[in-house]
Amino acid sequence: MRVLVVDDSRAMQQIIRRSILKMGRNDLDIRLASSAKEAMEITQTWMPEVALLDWHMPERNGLELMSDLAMLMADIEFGFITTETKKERLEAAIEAGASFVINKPFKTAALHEELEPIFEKTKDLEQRKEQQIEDELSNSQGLVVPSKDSLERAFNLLSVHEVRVGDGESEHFSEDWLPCLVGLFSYGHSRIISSVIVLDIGGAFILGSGVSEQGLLNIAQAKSEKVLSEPVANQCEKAMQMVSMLIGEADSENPLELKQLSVVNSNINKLESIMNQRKTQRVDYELWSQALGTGRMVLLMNS
Amino acid sequence: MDQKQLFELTKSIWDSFSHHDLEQSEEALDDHQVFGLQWLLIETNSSEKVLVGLDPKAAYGLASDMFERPVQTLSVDDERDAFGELAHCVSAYISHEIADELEVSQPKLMRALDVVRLLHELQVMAEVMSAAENRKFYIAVLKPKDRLSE
Repeated sequence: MRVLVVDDSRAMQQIIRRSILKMGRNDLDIRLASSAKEAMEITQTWMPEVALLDWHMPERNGLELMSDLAMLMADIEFGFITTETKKERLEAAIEAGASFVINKPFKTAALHEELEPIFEKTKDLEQRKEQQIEDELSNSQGLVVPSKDSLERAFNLLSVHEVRVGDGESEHFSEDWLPCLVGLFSYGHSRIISSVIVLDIGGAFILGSGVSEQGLLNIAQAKSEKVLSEPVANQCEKAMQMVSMLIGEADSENPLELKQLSVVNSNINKLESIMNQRKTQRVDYELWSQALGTGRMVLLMNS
Repeated sequence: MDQKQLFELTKSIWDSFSHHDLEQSEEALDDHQVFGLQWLLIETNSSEKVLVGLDPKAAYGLASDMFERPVQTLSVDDERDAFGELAHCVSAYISHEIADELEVSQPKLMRALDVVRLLHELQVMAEVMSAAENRKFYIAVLKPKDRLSE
């Protein structure tokens, strides 16, 4: 569970952090920011699932920061930990999408009471994404395995640095694939998933880094820390949309479309079970870029 | 707000941050004591101000509790951060007790000399001296002097 704590007091950040750790979960990844600016910088390379915000901070207040973060991340949950007590402001926070507001100083039990349902909801959402892949992968009539050359041409249209595509080794999906990006493809308005693409972190950064040199430096750091940011995921989405044109038959009335692209942080073995349960064709590619090294991309289609 | 209410509110916040017991003291603040404390002033969007003074060693003790780190590892910034958060919380609740619509500023560091001047220029609405391990902690709610009372 990735939790971002934003408070202009470092002492308060530590108190909140300790309180969360006392929940005893083994999946907590807590990061601390002292301002809205610092919070936005952190989210360039790391996507929190829950953000706990102070209200009164210099420059941008917690409500403004919540709005900024919500624009970047659709599924993020918010809570306020604040000295603010004005009823209309607290109501404004809830109306704007905050799950709770608790006042400082707070009791650890009160924070746990607010966070537990949010953590469970977030965990359920993650599991539903994975279940969706397992439940819906079927029916891949008319699909074409794209050649390395055609993929290379497509990727280089989007990237400022050269991307090469080669044959990849078929490796078991294991924890070292995490986090990864999983793209689900279906025809037109159909809910039936026809194919799946899995990008490991290296592959995601190669396809998601069509940016400046300075951007590449930040991305290299993010890659080493294994964090996938929203801008990288967005750029990957464009690449996946191009792939969908290569996989699907040239049917302008019913094109294959990228239905969903998600960051998967856990339970990679679900993908392995898909491979075992169905007659799935698997094609492995290796991606390479001089600036970002190598990455893996796997295409899964029913044969 | 009377002295008892002010102390109880202050103590409830202090106890959330510190392991050291805070006790009310009967001592009054004199000019000599002003120079032994660190001071923060929190202004409201009305005429009231909240003045908070804390013995520097007590401030380091507070920071040690809030950061959960030994005093010798703490910087001046850590100590000011902890004291500032305590002062901000206390003043936010005091202002809420005075009037719902009051808003408080970020705490501003004050020199002792300016505190002496402030205490002479303004009227004390409520004040309380307390102590944690014999280290002084003073809070006053101030407002402009009533011209008729001068």
